[in-house]
Formats: sequence, C-alpha cells, structure tokens
Amino acid sequence: MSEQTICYFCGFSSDKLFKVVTKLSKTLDTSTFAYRVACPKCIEEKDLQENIVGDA
Amino acid sequence: MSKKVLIPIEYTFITQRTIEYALSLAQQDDYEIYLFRVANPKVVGRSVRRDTLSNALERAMDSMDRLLMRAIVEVSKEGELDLAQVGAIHKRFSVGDLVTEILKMAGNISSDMILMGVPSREDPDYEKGQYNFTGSAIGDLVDKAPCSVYVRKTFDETFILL
Repeated sequence: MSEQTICYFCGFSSDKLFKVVTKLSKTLDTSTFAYRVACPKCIEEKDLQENIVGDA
Repeated sequence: MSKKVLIPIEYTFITQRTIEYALSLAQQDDYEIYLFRVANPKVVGRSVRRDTLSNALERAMDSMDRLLMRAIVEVSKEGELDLAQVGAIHKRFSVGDLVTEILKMAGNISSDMILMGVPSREDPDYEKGQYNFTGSAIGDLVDKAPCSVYVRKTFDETFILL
C-alpha cells in the first residue's frame, strides 16, 4: 500500500485516505489505469465509491 | 512479442471474472488484452430515440470500461496488482453477427487465444437471458477460430480448452 498522505485530486492532507483505481487515457479505444490516493470528499464528488481498493 | 488475448464481452458477472483472469495473466507474462463487444444490428438503431451507431459505440466503450474497472478493483483486493505491468488494454466494438465478428477480429489482431465467460444454468445472468454466447455460437466459433478458444463457466474456476 502507498504511504501517501495527500489526496491526488484536491491535495487535501488527511489520515483517512483511500486507494482508488482511476482511468488514465481518454481515448475511446484504449484504456490504461492507475492507482491514486483520494480523500472521502473527492471520492463522493467524483463518484469513485466502486473504485476503492482499500485504505491508503 | 506479446501474446494477444481476445475477450468477447457480455455484460455478465462471468465476463468480469474472465477479465480478472486475463489481468492476472497479463501481470505474469507479456499479454495484450483486447476487449471486444459485438452489438446486434437489430438492436442498434431500433430505439425511438436517436440511438445511432456512435451512441451505441460510446455506450459499449463506457460499459467495457466499467466492467474493466470492477475487474481491476476485484483483483486488487485479492492481492497487489501492478497496473504498470498490465499496461494498455484495447477495446473494440463492432455490429453484426456475433461469431463472424469475433472471427474477423481474431484474424485482424492475430489473436493467440480467445477467452470467453459463459453463464451456467444456475447463474442469475442465465435466467435474465443477458447473454448471446449460446452453445451453437461457441461450437461454431471453436470450429472456425484461428486460435485456441478457452471457455469458462460460472462456479467453475477452470478454463476449458476447446
């Protein structure tokens, strides 16, 4: 697990962060994915609940 | 040279499990994954709304991404999945006869294997009828495919080489 303590999306620092899977490429025919660390607020805003892999 | 795995997509749980298997395969060795959705020509354009081909394409791409995302999340929960190792996953979409389109795509990309997830009778997806991979379609595919065809059924962890 990553030891990052800052949300990738908003830069918010918190002790309660989650590891999520996000899509990287925006092209129609190819998909690449990466793990990111996100705070609960961004998870809710970006509708990432289903993408949570575990605690960061 | 990387091996190419073609996965015909249906929006069923067993297809998601098949993608999960392909992801773990892609981690261990050099594999390229091709997700392929074939739409029925009778369904595309039939709707009263402006259900054009491009709409169908975008919907299929979105659905494949969601399926893929769920598979990645599941594999990640089981253990550490290195996404950098897996790399790009291709998506393809076509309209036409299921078997013909799969065969054409397998030839076009020089596929090394076709992985298919087929719902068993006990599977809720089977009862809902949300699948097109019938016995005759698979039989036809196995007969004419230019590569190996592996079929996996729900509740059975093994892939059967046909």
